[in-house]
Amino acid sequence: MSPEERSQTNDEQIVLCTSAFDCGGRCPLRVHVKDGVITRIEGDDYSDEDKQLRACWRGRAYRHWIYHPDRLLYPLKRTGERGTGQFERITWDEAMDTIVSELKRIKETYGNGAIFLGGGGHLGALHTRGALNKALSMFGGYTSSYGNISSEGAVWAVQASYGDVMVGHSREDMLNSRLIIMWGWDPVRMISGTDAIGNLIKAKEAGIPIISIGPRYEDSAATLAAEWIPIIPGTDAAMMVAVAYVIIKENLQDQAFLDKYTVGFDKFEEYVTGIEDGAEKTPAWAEAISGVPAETIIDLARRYATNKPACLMDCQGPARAAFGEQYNRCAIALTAMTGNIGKPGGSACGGLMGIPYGHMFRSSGIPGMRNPTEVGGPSIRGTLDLNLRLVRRIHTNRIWDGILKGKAGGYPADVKMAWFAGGNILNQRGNINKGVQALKSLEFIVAQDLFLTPTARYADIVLPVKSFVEKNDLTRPWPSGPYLCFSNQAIEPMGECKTDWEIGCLLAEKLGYEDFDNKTEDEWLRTFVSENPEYQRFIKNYDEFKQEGIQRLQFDEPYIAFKAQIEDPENNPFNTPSGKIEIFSQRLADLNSLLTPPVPKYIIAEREDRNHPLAKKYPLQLLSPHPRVRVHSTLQNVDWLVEVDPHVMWINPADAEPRGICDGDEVYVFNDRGKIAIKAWVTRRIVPGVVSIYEGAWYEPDEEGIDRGGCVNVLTDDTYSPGGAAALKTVLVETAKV
Amino acid sequence: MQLGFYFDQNRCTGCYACAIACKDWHDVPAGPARWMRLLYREEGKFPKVFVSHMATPCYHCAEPVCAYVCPSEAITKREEDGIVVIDREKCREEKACGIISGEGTSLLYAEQEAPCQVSCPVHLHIPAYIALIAKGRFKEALEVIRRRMPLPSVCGRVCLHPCETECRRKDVEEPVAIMALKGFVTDNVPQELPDRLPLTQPDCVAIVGSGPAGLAAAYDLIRMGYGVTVFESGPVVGGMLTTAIPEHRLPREVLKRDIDYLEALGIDIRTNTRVDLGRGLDDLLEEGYGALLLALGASKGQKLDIAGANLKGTLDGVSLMQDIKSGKSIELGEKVLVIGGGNVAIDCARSARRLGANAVRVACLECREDMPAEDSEIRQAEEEGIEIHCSLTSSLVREDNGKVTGVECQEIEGLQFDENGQPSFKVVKDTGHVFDVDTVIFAIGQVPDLTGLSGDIKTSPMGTIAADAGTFMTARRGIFSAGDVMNGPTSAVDAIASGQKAAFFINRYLQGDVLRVRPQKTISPKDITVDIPADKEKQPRQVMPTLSVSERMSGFREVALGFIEAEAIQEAERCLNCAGHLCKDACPYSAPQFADEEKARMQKCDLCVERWGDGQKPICVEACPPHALDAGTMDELKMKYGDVTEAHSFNYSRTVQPSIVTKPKQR
Ligand SMILES: Cc1cc2nc3c(=O)[nH]c(=O)nc-3n(C[C@H](O)[C@H](O)[C@H](O)COP(=O)(O)OP(=O)(O)OC[C@H]3O[C@@H](n4cnc5c(N)ncnc54)[C@H](O)[C@@H]3O)c2cc1C
Ligand code: SF4
Ligand code: SF4
Ligand code: SF4
Repeated sequence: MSPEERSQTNDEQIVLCTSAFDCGGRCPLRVHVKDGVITRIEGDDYSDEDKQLRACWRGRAYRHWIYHPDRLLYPLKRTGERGTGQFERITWDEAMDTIVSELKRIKETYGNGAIFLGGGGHLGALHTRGALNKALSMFGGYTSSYGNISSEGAVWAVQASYGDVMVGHSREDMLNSRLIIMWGWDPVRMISGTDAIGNLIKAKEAGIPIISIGPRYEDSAATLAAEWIPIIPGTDAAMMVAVAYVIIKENLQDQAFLDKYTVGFDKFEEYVTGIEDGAEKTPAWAEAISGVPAETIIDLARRYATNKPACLMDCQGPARAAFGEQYNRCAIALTAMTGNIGKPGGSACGGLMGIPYGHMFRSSGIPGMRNPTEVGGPSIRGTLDLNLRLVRRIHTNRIWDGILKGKAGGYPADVKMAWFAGGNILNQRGNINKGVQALKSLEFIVAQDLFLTPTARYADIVLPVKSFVEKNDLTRPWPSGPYLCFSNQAIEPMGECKTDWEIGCLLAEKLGYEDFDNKTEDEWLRTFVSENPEYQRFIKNYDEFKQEGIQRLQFDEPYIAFKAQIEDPENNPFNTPSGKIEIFSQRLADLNSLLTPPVPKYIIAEREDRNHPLAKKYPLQLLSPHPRVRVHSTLQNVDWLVEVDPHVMWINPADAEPRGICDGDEVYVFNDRGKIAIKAWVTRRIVPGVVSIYEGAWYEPDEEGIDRGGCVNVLTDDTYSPGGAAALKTVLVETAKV
Repeated sequence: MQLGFYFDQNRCTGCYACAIACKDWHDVPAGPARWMRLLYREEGKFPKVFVSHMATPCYHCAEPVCAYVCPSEAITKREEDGIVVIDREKCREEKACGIISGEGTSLLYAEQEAPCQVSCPVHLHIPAYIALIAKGRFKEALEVIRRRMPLPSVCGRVCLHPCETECRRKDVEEPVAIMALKGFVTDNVPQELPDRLPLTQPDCVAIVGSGPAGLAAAYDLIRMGYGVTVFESGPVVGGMLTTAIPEHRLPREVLKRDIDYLEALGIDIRTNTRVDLGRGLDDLLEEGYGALLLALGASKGQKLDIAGANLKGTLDGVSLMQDIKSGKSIELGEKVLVIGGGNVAIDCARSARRLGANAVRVACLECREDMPAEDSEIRQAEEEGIEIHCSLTSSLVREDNGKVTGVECQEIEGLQFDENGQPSFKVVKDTGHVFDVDTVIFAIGQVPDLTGLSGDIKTSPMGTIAADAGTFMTARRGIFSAGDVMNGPTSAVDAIASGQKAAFFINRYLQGDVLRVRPQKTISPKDITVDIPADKEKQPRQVMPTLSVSERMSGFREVALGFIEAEAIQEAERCLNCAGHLCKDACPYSAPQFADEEKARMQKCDLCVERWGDGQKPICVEACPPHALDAGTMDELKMKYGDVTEAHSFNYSRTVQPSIVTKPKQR
């Protein structure tokens, strides 16, 4: 039966939806609606079963998120102390009037820079904070943050090396590889595109050897890899440099490729072989740093350099660390040395994985307006100098410090009010206890969300937001297709919820901006489809697209990043100053900093790891990977998800035993920044000396300030790497049984 | 036609999409009712870790034991497609299933356990096997027993059956004959030897001692995939069960059934192989055994420290029993006094009668009610003409020319035992009494024989091996202990339970895991309130048929004759089914589920019965991102994927015949 036929039976309707989360995928969902209520959710039923875009476990549980008893249904105003969660219901009019009068007061008293606008949330085309940005820009502007909390290290590395972020291959191209190395990549957990896992399974079953490198024996490793190479967190770059050393010493590099397509390999070689600094980066050198045996490094280097094509998959997680960008830079150097760039079965590395079809960076949106507070700042286009980017903005992992210190601390503004358009920022940035102080220092806070998140608990006004089934929008796969989605409205809005777009429009109306937005939802979506070149190319009929909910893009062959540059370099230079892949970057050389060296390096400098003096007091390194059963902090408390993967701390028996910790014990995890309570999961799947807690659990402090919710960002630091990566994985802690 | 599942362990990523999709489709709330469950297994020491998952919905078995045990006949297997379905309206409706009142326990219905099960040291699913017996499903009953019991025949005969002591049928008239019912199935199901189990673990374990503790550990370890070698110093396997418990209670050929079964699984038992407890242990470790278990038992008989205790004509009970069993010629006098009140004492007395002693008496400290010996044993002893004298202490063995002539005893009162089992009492004045005897048998307990034990293994003041009660590991890493050598003389079932716990910790040790586990909450059978219906009709316990006294005296033939089928079924029907959820307990995979709700009714995977009509497959199959699951007719599935019902780290039950084809995870 076709979906339409089936939708006729049982007066049940099937509506085609997708979520719009930063969840790593984008799965077409068939939402069953009966009498206006969602009864069931089914996944993709594409006729070619093999190519179905099957929803992950989270998609299967959305019904309990949409109808969660804690959903916010009405605007709220705060009645108790900030953070205590005491609120009362108010009308939209009262909410918006309060907001408008506070906006005006703050603008008059302190200027527009005092208004901080942050957010996250819905990744659609229309129902985003775009309208809010525009309304506040018309109001005179606001201060915002710079950087993406997830991927900044990778972005910086690919900008430095390729000048381009489209570094991915179609997933099925992995089947053309002769060796796949998942280095810090766990697609089973973080999806990495809805079609990733299926293709990896096929690769494994086709006999392609898969190696996994990382501090944890991840689900992907357990399912796919023939071999796990455990490594101490933060030392990937050292091991990669040693792999390069072996390749160079054994003369296994693809010199012709290097000569033709890259610049500065000689400089990198000088660093690796020690000509530059007198230190040979031998496997033994790397073993001492990374804990990976020298023989393993040698073996890996030989296999990687001699099996062609080989697909080295780095990711973004290991880059979320001190000097994290060097991990992606080193990976790019390795794939260049082995000549695997631009070729079927190879990889460009760089961690971003996107292809230019259906890419989420290329989403449509309502036309914006330049934020007046940023007018006149330095030009930052293409710069690798983070400092320039932080002249007018606050680094995303430094928001709290920026609020607390203001201009006196070197930040662009003295912030007095904050508007969080989704995003649960308090929970999802380093050093929550500093965040609490910052939020308490503000004069006014607005939050819009579906739930009373830890961030929203500090707000003065909370605005309730619709979930993805309560609106129509264009959505895109994470990070890219090849497909495009249309998420249909399945049910009437819950309570008085609005979308971020509607809230932006409402603000504009209250501020008296006439003709701010005269289009209906449907008009906007049709406009997006008709005006965006990608939709123009692939969507022939809007109504059909809307009805089907998905447009799959068919190509004769897999997309390969930089294929054109490799096949025809004359006519297709790389988007770098040299037109080549920059193993050596003059732009970086010009920055003249040891911490952003022109060639990829393992940076020897102090950081909060096992060699730090603090390790005496806090001997365990802490990881905070993306959770499996949440999307960061979204989907917290969805009972169906919590029960299959309770929030725990991974700890190796070698660390648990001396601390008297048994599996399932309640423990405290702490450092100078804070203390959380969580249950221990004793497992051999993690390197000794390292503990791991998934990010995103909701911060829930008790009277003593101990976080009973187990939010890892109570422990992480609000620092960033020289490339701009939030250094959330460079953290020391100690743990003890409660 | 039979519909069933296919599951590829190599593809499953452990993501739970199947389980959640199932809950969404069938609108099952979060909580304990999980139609599709995923078993997680982590093996190997860091960094050689190995992970596997097993999808466990309901396997819609060819022999659905769940259906057989359901008192309300709520579970049926559909003719047309073999799907085993539950009529939830009927569940717990026609007949009660579970009469424990929730008060006093915070346990959910499905977590409640019957008093018998709680008091069984190995936690057998007693009501489930009894229910199967009541339905005439003896083979299935035996399988339920074997799930946790390595020596079913033994524990069907000589178990001290603490379960029966707690059985609530006694509040109607008498407890259910739980032990004898177990004996019945072991006698009446023709022995089918199992296949050798595959060795899936890199390690082997050496077990020293083939008594119940050693064999129980071996059974569990081999089922976990370890190679197991049992070293036995004596010529026969079974420890005290073979060497001491008399034939009239436990015939050797009965015990042999159990041992044959264990050996068929692949347990390598080497008799006549004494392990030197000093250097020998090092040798075993050097040979490559990953861990050692000392299950040496407590074999050294003791005598009272009184004058005359070492005269000719005085014996210790265990040595006597062992000599009898090993066929030595025994010379006993005419008039025998056995000192002691336990089973060993009664065994000695009854054996003495069989060996021709005319006047056999037993003298013990305890009063009649408190005698540790089994009641039925005492009764049968009395039938055999043995006199029991209680509340007596013996102070002197009289002699004439080095020959025993009598024993002096006094009456006592205020008997108490300290935590080490040492008695204290007051002698009642002027109650001296002399037994006129020529033979004295001391049956006052045994201690381990630890001659030559390596110094780094510590011992207790009681003369037992000191091991950590939380890990069963001795003072030396990798060497564990269990059974009577660790606890002093106990019983077969206690030794079995002890061996099982040791196996549990040995596994953790070999996996490089933290040894200790969080203390489990335990419930005392006394705290379980059972609401017996007021109108419950009395139905007396089946009397175990026995040999006549004269038949018994002619040798060591087994006294108990065992139930016949009709008796067994009638006896099984007496079970009150205190805890309920028989389907869940009988199912080898615990597939039947119960939500956290008032009067929870059974629910379980129905193979998405209503989706097939639409030409769709079950929701779990369609949800699985890596396509690890499939479903279809068993014929199709076998054609497509091969006929394999084997999975890594998961034991399928052959008896129920699950409808599933699997691809086991490859290392
Ligand atoms: C006469 C008698 C009657 C009993 N009746 C009952 C009863 O009715 N019900 C009941 O439940 N319990 C009864 N028991 C108790 C029960 O038999 C024991 O509690 C139980 O057998 C203890 O088990 P175990 O495995 O710890 O040790 P054991 O059964 O003693 O087995 C230990 C084994 O280790 C071997 N061994 C010792 N040292 C070495 C070495 N260095 N190398 C190799 N092998 C070695 C021994 O030869 C022996 O076979 C009775 C005991 C006796 C003596
Ligand atoms: S798996 Fe269990 S519940 Fe399912 S049919 Fe078999 S015995 Fe019954
Ligand atoms: S077949 Fe249906 S009912 Fe059974 S586990 Fe799968 S989804 Fe659940
Ligand atoms: S959905 Fe598939 S991969 Fe996920 S747990 Fe279930 S069987 Fe395994």
